[in-house]
Amino acid sequence: MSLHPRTNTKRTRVPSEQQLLLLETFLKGDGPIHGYDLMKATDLGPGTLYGVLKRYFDDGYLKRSTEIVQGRNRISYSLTERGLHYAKRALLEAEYERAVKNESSKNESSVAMDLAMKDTVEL
Amino acid sequence: MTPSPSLSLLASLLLSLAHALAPKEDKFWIGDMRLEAPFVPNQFQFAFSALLLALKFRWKELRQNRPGTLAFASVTVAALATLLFVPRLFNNPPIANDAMSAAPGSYETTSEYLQGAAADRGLSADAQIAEPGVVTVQTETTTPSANAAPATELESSGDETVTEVPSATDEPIVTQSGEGFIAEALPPPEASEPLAIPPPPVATAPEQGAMDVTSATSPAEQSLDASVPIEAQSPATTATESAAPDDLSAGSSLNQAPDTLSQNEVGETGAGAELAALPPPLTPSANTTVLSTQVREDSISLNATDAALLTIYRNSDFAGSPRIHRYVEAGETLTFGIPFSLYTDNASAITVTVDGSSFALGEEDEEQFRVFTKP
Repeated sequence: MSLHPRTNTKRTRVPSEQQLLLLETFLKGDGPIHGYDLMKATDLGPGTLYGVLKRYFDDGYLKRSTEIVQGRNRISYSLTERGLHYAKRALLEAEYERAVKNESSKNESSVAMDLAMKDTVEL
Repeated sequence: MTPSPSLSLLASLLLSLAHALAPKEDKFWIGDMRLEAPFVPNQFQFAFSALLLALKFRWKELRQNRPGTLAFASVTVAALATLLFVPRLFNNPPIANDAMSAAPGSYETTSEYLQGAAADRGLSADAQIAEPGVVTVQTETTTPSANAAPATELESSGDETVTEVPSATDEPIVTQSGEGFIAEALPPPEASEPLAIPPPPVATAPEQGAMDVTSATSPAEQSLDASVPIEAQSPATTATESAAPDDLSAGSSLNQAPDTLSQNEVGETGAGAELAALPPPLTPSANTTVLSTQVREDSISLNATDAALLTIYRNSDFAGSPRIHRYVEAGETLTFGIPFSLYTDNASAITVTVDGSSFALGEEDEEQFRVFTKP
């Protein structure tokens, strides 16, 4: 058992598409965002959304702020500096992986095309 | 001014439950959801998701911080589930006497038979079983052969009922037979016709030696030593049996034509051949007269004054498998609870005591169906 019980090895994994969408929403937003707005933007369920928010908050990527909306307290979330770096890096890595994947698929398709062309010429 | 959104009662309850279930360090997330819930259109779904999230938080907290508690809780839940559901799986209803799984026409020597024999000897059933001088041949379910001839009584003049079955060993078997010794003789089985009855399991075991003891419930009988003569093992019966004028070998006592049957064949077919002599149990047909006797007592005793075929059903309509279907001998006393129904082929041989008065069931060699019920 780990000496640090709160350490979760799953946190080091690559963010899922929905998590990336959440980070992208934070980056695009110009300020704190409420939970329901995040749900609408990312199409995540409440349980999933607040689970991811809790994870990012525990890692120090998020901060909470309270404001009064229509006479009620409401919590909004925004990225910290660390979260901002993490979000940018995660989005870049995801974009790079997507590009690599597209390149490899392109290469595979180009190789297949070359082979097809070769066969055609030989015929 | 826009009115402040409200939270439904059901959503509020679910969120309160979720807040209570969540671990202490994660409660504020459920609080965040509670604050956000009034702004969500589908509040019930939102609150239910909060409850599930609280359970997830609790599970994670237990798994990471208190695995012992989690294991204890798991074991407790498993034990409760076992206690609640497993006994129901094995809670089968008791089998009624009438539903005993005896094949039609089967032969049974039951505790009632032992009780009857013991009562005849003035002993309790346990004492009768424990007495090593009485050797009974028992088989649980043996279907009689239709071709077999009925058993013949060789000698019937006393109280003892001894049925001896020779063993499969080649040693000569000598037993004492005194007054009251009754041996049921069997016709020689046809050599070309295989017996349809499997022999009792112990009867064919060579190590059982001279005496066949097949009762699984009478340790006294099982304790008989085949290597020791009967009279040495049964001091209680030696006194009467020693007066016997003749020594009967097992082969001659069970078979009137021993020259046609080898010793080994007798050992393999002894008990089965005796049972095969029984006719199948009869039930009254539509035009058969069935006598009825009403008895105020809970049980009555049947006394056999002569040999007779007796079939007892533990119900009043001759239904199911007979509880007893065999030849009773003079001196036997059988006790049965009411109601029961019987068939006998010799009504004069069965005396019944009802409410203090004894009477024979009928005339000699009269076949009779009779039902004993409560008024």
